[in-house]
Amino acid sequence: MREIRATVQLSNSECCTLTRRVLSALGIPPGADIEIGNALVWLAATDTVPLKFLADLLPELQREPETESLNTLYLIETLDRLAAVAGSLNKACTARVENSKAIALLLPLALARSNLNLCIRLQLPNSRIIIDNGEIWTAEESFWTRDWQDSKEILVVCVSNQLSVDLSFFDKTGLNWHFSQSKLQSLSSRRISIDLESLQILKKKAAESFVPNSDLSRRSGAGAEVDDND
Amino acid sequence: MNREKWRFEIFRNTLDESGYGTLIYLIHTPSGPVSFISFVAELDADDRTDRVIAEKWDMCFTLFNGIPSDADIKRLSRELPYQEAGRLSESELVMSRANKSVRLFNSVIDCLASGVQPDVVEIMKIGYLIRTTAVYGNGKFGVMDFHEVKQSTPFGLPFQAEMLTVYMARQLSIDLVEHIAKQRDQAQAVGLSRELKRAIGVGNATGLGMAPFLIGHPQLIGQWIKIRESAIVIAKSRSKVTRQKLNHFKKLIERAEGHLKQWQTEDPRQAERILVLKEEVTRLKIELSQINDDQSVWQQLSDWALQNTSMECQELLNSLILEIYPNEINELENMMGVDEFTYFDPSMGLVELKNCIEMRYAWALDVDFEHLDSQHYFWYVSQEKEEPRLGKRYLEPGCELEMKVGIARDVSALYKTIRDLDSNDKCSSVADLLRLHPKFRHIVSRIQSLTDFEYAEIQNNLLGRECLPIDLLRCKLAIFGATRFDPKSNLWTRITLFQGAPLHDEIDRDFADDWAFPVVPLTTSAAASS
Repeated sequence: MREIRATVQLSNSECCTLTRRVLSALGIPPGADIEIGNALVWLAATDTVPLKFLADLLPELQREPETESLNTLYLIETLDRLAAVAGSLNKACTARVENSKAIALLLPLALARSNLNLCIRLQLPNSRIIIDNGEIWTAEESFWTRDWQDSKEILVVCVSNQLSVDLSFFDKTGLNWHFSQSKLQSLSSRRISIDLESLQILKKKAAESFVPNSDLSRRSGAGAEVDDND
Repeated sequence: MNREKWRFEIFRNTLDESGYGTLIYLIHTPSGPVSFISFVAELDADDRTDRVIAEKWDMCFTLFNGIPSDADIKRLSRELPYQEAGRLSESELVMSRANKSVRLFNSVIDCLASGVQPDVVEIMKIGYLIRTTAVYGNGKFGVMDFHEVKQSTPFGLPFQAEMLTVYMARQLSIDLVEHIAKQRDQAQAVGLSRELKRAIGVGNATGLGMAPFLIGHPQLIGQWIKIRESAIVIAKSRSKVTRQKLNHFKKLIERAEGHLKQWQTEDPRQAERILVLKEEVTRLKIELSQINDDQSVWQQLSDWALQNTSMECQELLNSLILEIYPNEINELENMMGVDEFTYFDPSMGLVELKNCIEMRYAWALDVDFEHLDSQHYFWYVSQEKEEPRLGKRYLEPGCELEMKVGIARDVSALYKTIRDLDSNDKCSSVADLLRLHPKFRHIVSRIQSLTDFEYAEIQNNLLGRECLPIDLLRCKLAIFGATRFDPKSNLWTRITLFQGAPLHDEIDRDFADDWAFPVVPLTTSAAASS
C-alpha cells in the first residue's frame, strides 16, 4: 500500500512550472505567467504567502470581473487589467485591500506589471512601497506625495493586513526591476508545502493548458508508429 | 571521475534467480558518497513501450545523495516504480527507468549460461542491453532542484548527475545478465569478456520532449555551443602540428572509419548520410597525406572539408581534432553551465528593439508566415501523461494551447507590429507597446535576455512543414556524447551512450578518457592495455 500524504513537499522548480501553467490556463499572457508564477513561488518559499492561497483564489479568479467591486473583487479587476499591462486605470486610482488572499497576488502582480505608465503605491500597515517602472522603492514621505508626470497612471493600494515582505530578493539595475531568478533559486533547498487537496486543484487547473487526449493525438506522439519490443 | 579517482562498489544485492529485486551501488567521490539504487521487476511484453505514456518498465532507478537507510530503500521501492505517478524527495537527484532490449538481453543470457561469449556482431548491431526512456532531474517529481545539486553534491554542472545515472544503468545491465546466467547454470556460466562489456552501451529513446527544452533553455544551449566552438578554435589554431599529434590523429581517423562501418540504421536519410560520409572520410585521409606543410594542418584540412564534403564530415573532422588536444581544451568543461536569467527592460525604445530584431533575427524575418506551410505544425503537451506531441495545425484541435516554440513566428509578428505602428498609437517604448499588445511580453523579454548569447537561438522555423524535430534531438544528444544515431521516424530516435567507455573498475586508469568512436574489436588504448 502506498502512503497517502496529507501534505506534499514540492521542489522549487515544480512550483514554478505548476504556477506558470495555472496562470497560463487563467489566460495570463505568455511571459507574465512566468514572472508572476516565479513571484508566487518566492512568496511561498519565504513563508510570506502559502501556495495554497492560489488554489483558494481560483474560483474568484475565474469569475467575470465586477466593475464596482471592492477588496478582493477589486483585485480581480486589477488582475485582469494588470495582466494586460496596465489596462486603463484612472489616474490616482485608489483601492483598499483587506483580504490577505488578495494581497498574496497583489505584490507579484504589481511587480510584474508596473512600467513607465503605471505607478503602483502600496500602503502597507507599517511601511510604504512604491513600485514604479519595474523598480521597488521603500517610500519616503516626499517621494510618496511627489507629483508625477501627467501621463503616469497611479494605483494606490492600501493594505490593512499585516504583510511582511523581504525586498532583498529583488535586483535593482538602473531604472529596471528584476525579480532575481538566482535568488529565487537560492531558495531551492526550501521545500514548499501544500496540502494534497489544494495541489489537486492547482494541477487540475494547470491541465487546462494541455490539449485533451484523443486517438488522433495519441497517434501523433513520438514512438506511436513502431513496436517498442525489439 | 577519472581525475578524482571515483570508486564503485555493490552496496546491496537482493536479485533473485530471474534477476528481479534490488541492486544498489555505492559511488565514492571526494565530495562524499552517492548511491545508484535500482529495482528490477517482471514486465509483460504487452506493457513494454518506450513512450512517455508507459506506466510500467523493466527496471527503474534513482541517484541518491549519500548512503540510503533501510527506510529510504523501502520508501523508494514503493514510489520509484510508479515514476511520474510516484513521489521522490530532496534526497534523490535523478529519477529514471529503462526497458530491456528484447533482441539482445535474453540472447546474451543464453550464451553466457551455456558458457560461450555472445556474438560480437549482434552486440554491435544493437549496442545495448537496456535503453532508458526518461531521465528526470532538476526538481521534477520531487527530486532535488539543480541549484541545490550544484551546492551540495559532487555534480556542479548541468546533467552530470543524469549522465552518471545512465552510466550506472549500463553497469546494472551488465551485472544483470551475468547474474541471471549464473543463476541458470552455476557450473557452466561465464561472465562477459571485458571487451564485450565495453562494447555494451546504454540505449536511449528520445522524442519530442527534448525540443521544447532546447527552446526553453536558450542561454544554456548557447553556452554549450559557444564552448564547443571555442574548443575548436583553440585546437585548430595550433600552428605547428607535432608528429606525435599527427599519428594520434591518424589512429583516430582509422578508428572513426571502423566506427562508421558498424553504425547501422534503417532510416534511409541517415543511412544515405553515413554512406556519403564513409566515402568522404576516405578522401579526407588522402587529403591529409598530401599536406606536406606541418603549419596550420588543421586549418588546411578544415578548409578543404568545407569545400568538398558534407556537414557530417566537417563535424566529424572537428570532433577528431578536439580529441587530440585534451590538455588544451579539457578545462573548458567547467564552463558548460550558465546561470540562466530573464531580463526585461520596459524602457527600451522601440527603434532599438526593431534594430535588434533586424540584426539578430533576420533568419526569422525571412520566413513568410502568410503561407500556410509556415505554420503547418503546432507543438503541444497532451493531457495524457503530459506527453509532448506535434499536431497538424489545420487538421487537429488544440492549437490554441500550443507551446511557445514558434520563436521565428513570434519575432516576425512583433516586428510587423512595431513597423506598422503609427503616430496615433503613441508608442515609443517597450512599455508603450506591451500596454497595447501584452502577448508580446514573452518574446520581447527573450530578445532582451539573449543579447549576449550568439548561439542561443535555433535559427529555424519549428512550425514549418519542413521542420524535422529529429535534427534538434541529434544536436542535444551529440552534446551528451551519443553515438549510433538511429532515427525511427521524424519524431524520435534511438541512440547509444557510453559504448566503449571504461567500466567502473577502470575509471581511475590514465587511459580512461580515450574511447571516442568505439569499434569492436575495440581499438582504443584501453583495450590494448587490458
